[in-house]
Amino acid sequence: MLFSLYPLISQNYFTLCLVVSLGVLQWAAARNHKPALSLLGPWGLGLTGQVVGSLLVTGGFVWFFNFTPGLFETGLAGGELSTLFSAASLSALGLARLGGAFWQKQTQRQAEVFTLD
Amino acid sequence: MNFDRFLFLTFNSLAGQWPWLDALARLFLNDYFGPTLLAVILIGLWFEGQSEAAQRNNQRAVLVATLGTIVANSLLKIINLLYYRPRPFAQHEVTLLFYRPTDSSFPSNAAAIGFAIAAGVWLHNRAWGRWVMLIALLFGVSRIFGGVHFPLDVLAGAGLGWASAWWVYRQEWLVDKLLTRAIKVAARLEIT
Repeated sequence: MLFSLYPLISQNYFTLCLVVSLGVLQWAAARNHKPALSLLGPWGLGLTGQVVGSLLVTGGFVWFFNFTPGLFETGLAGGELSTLFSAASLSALGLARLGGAFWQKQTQRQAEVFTLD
Repeated sequence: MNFDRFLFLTFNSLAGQWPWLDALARLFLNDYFGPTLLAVILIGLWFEGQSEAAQRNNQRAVLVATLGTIVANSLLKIINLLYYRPRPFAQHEVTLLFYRPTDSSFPSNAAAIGFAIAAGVWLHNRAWGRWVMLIALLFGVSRIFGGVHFPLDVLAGAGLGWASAWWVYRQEWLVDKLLTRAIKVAARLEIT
C-alpha cells in the first residue's frame, strides 16, 4: 500500500476531501434549504451558507496544492484515492449531520421555551 | 509516423512555452484536482432540485455516474490485462509536466472515469452536465498536453467511460431498484 510510502500526501488528501465535501454540503444545504445538514444552523441556510461552502471548497484546493510537497513527482494509486475520498466524504456527511441535529435541537428548545413563556 | 503520434507531438510541443498554460495544465492533469472536483459535484447534485421530481432525477444521475465509473474501471482493468501500450515519454522525447506513471497508456484511465461521470450527469441534467463535461474534457486533454497520454488513449478512455454510463443508464430496473433503496436509507438519515 502506498499510504505508508506517502503518508503526508495521504493525510493531506484526506483533509482536502473532508474540507471540500463539507463545503459542498454547506453550499447544497444553503441552496436547497436542508437544515439537517447546516453546520451554521439557520444562518447557514441563506447566502451565508453558500459563501461559506464556496470558500471551503476553494480554500481546500488552494491549501492542498500549496502545502503538499512532491505532488507532481509521485502519487497515490486510484484505489487508494477513492478509499480516502469515500472515508473523508462519509466523515464530512457525519459531521454535517451532527451539526444539523445540534442546531435543530437548539431551535426546538427555543420554540418550547417561547411556548412556555 | 502515425496520426496519433503526430497529433501528440504537435500538442505536446506547446508545453513548456507559457508558464501560465503549464500551471493550468498541471492543475487539471494531476490525480487529485479533476477526480475530486467531479466527485464532490456528485455530492452537490444529490441534494439539488427545486421539486421532488427534479431531485429524484438528479439522484438518479448520481447513481448512474457512480455505477458507470465502476463499470468503466472494471473494463479498463480487463483491457489493461490484455493489452499494454507504453506511455509517450517511453517512446519519444517529450515535455513532461507530471511524474511517470507505470501502467498502460491505453485507454486513458482519467478520461474513462471523467467521461463516465460526465455522461451519467449529462444524460439526466444538461445544465450541470455541460460543466461536468468541460471538466472531464480538460482532465483528458491536459494529459496529452502534459506528455502522459496519446490522443487515441484519451479518445478510447472517453468512449469507454461514456459507453459504460450509457449502458448503466439503460438498465432502468437496476437503477430504479438501487435508487429506491438508497433514498430509503438517506431518508432515515435525513440526507435526501
